[in-house]
Amino acid sequence: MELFSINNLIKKAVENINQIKESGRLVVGIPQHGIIPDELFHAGGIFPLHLTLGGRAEQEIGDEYLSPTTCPFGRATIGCFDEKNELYSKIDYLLTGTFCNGVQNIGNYAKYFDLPVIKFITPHTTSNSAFTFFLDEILKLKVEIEKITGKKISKNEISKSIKLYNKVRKLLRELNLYRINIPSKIQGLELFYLVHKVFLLGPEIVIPELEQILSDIKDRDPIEKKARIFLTGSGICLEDNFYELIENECNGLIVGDDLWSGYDFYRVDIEENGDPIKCMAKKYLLYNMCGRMIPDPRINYIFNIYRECKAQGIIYHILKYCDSYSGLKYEFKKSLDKKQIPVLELERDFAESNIGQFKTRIEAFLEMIQ
Amino acid sequence: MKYMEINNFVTDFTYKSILDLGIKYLLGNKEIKEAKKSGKKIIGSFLPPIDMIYAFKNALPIFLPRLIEFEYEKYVPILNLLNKFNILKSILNYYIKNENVLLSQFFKDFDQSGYSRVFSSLIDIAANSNYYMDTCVQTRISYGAFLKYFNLVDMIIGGFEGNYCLHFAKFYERINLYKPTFYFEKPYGDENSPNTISIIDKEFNRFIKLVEKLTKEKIDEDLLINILRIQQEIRKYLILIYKLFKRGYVPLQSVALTLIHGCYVDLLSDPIFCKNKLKQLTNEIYHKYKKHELYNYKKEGIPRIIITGSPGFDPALPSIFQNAGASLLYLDLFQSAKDSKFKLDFKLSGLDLYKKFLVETNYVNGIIDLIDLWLNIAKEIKVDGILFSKSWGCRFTTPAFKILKDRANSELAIPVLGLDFYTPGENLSQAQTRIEAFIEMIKKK
Repeated sequence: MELFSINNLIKKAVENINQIKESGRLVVGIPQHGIIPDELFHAGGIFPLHLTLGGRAEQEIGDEYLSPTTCPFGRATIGCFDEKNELYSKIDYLLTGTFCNGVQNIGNYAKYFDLPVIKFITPHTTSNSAFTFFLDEILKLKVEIEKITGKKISKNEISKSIKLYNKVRKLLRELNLYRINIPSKIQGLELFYLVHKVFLLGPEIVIPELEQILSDIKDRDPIEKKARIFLTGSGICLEDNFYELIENECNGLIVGDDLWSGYDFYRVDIEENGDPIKCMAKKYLLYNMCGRMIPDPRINYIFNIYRECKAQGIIYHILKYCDSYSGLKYEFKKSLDKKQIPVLELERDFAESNIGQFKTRIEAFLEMIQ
Repeated sequence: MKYMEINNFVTDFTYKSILDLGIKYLLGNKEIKEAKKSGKKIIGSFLPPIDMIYAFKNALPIFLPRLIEFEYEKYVPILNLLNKFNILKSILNYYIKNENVLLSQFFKDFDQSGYSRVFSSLIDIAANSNYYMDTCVQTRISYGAFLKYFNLVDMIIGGFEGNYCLHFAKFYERINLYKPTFYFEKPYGDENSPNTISIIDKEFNRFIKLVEKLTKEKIDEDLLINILRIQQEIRKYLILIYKLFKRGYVPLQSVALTLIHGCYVDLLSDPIFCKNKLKQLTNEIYHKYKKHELYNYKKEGIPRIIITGSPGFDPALPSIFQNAGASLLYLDLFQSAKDSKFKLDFKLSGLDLYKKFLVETNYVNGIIDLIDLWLNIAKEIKVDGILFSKSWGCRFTTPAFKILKDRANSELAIPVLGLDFYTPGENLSQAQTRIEAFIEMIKKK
């Protein structure tokens, strides 16, 4: 099916980036998963390209730079730069910072690929002082973008970009309802794919498609009864095929998630009344569900979201050596056990050698919870 | 015999000041227990800065690894007694000049396997408590130590490291589930970053309020200034000792250097003692230097290798280097002291002065700052090689190995050896073979 072809999506993304560059706009590569105001780049006329590719071959190339106990995403991203990936080679600037060790490591090696860096430091807590710091970082980022483009970003332009991104988030939330409701009419894979379309093509291109899907979805056949899964933990990269494994090969249905590559991207809008910079800071620092925060905010959301989407069990996905989700996995699982929620923990990387073992474990889990 | 004298790390323990520092370090557990009994609040940490706790009379800081009781703990009271009467120094001198006597086995155990076993037992405690084991040896040991000495500590201060290493941030989040932990948000930036200055200001105030609540006393700003004054003086001594490294000498070997790094974190519960001992050490070293009793390693042709990479290395490494005919040096603290821009400014209040110190010692570019520091050491003391400790599971330092290696080669033409390190005492024969080959290669150059 064309809709879910990752290769086609990447091909389209390359074409899109070529057009953007031909129009004289710049492209910033963002390895950071969330907690970054795309709207600000958009308002400044820079295309924010989320770096979300993660494949086995690239991970292996990345091993020549980073140690094998670095997150697979960091290694794969460096691998993409090294092999001059068609998409990544179009990047003019790389946004790095202290989001996590993986992102820092990517930034540390930017010089090897002649990539100028824009630094963005993200605090770990949501205290008042951390919020003020984050707000200042966004203001600094604004100045940096203005310096690069030679053009001031007006509040009006930021507000317009916020509205545009809010619209895409709203449409994704509406679609998400068709995944949550029983019977579901949309697979987790399709929503995952659409979120990545926003990351790679930008909201303008994706909004008409989302509207079309929404107007047609009522007429879709309901998805046959499958084990309903909630996915938590490390986000899923393109070319990783994890959704395909759960939904297509193991016959499960991912009805909810809290991932940067999923619901965390569109769960909360940016307030449209008030100072736009402050409103962006609030959404990204205070309302994210990212496990890199201290304390892990998922615990405040996961039970409600899990209940809302009527899931039957949780797959706790950990990308090996991803500190955001590995450090406290024991305590996190214990809190799920207390609520008697069935959990399957899968710790993996982009290597495909052990896929059979994961498939068996997922199938057994789905069978158990159904 | 001469070589034994030149390149033997036990020689450093013939300095009375080093013996005093070493024994005081080992008495940490006993001293903290006594302080706790007397009603003091104990605030633990794994890395500096922690010295600001000295501005509270009812609190004491502790570098948590200092609580570790080694297998030779039973010898410590005797060593302490012998040291008080200056006998220990004579015994050590005798040992150095009479190789292969009974004491050799004692020192072998003292510096290697004993350490490994203790550290491994702490790692086991962490593993048995469902700690995430796919991570660095530092946090595995630290978590084990935290659990083992859980009741001794009232509060933990952490987070400084969390700003550059997410695993450390999560480590503190986990600890906070069981023990009150202050997570100090201190993002990258220096005196040129107003938002970093502002957040450090607020975080420091928040921290002080918390300690005031815990100790039920107001912070004494004069004591805070005093600790900064002591630190400034300590830096002065470190710089003086470092000067000799720059001239080709090895006034202190790796074990003593590691001890000094360890002492520096919490100033051994007694900053004045610590400062005085470093002053004494500087005098002792310069006394030897003036009497031409220090060997110039450059002139003698003994390779000097600096250790870089993740903090902490296998306790066996110094011996392996020594046996391979080289000297392993751990000089981070000395170079930091030399590079320090911090100056006491008496127009500022104690609180403002300490905040200024926190800002000026902050990272700006993370690991790249550390690589700059290591390359500066390598350049300044003209090392023959660099050892990079690739601590398994470290996501902050170890991934930068290639950057350090490439820069050392291109900027300084210095060879770099990367050595994997998972758990103390493991794969030592492999490490030995690689180190020997590395040193041989350097000697042939």
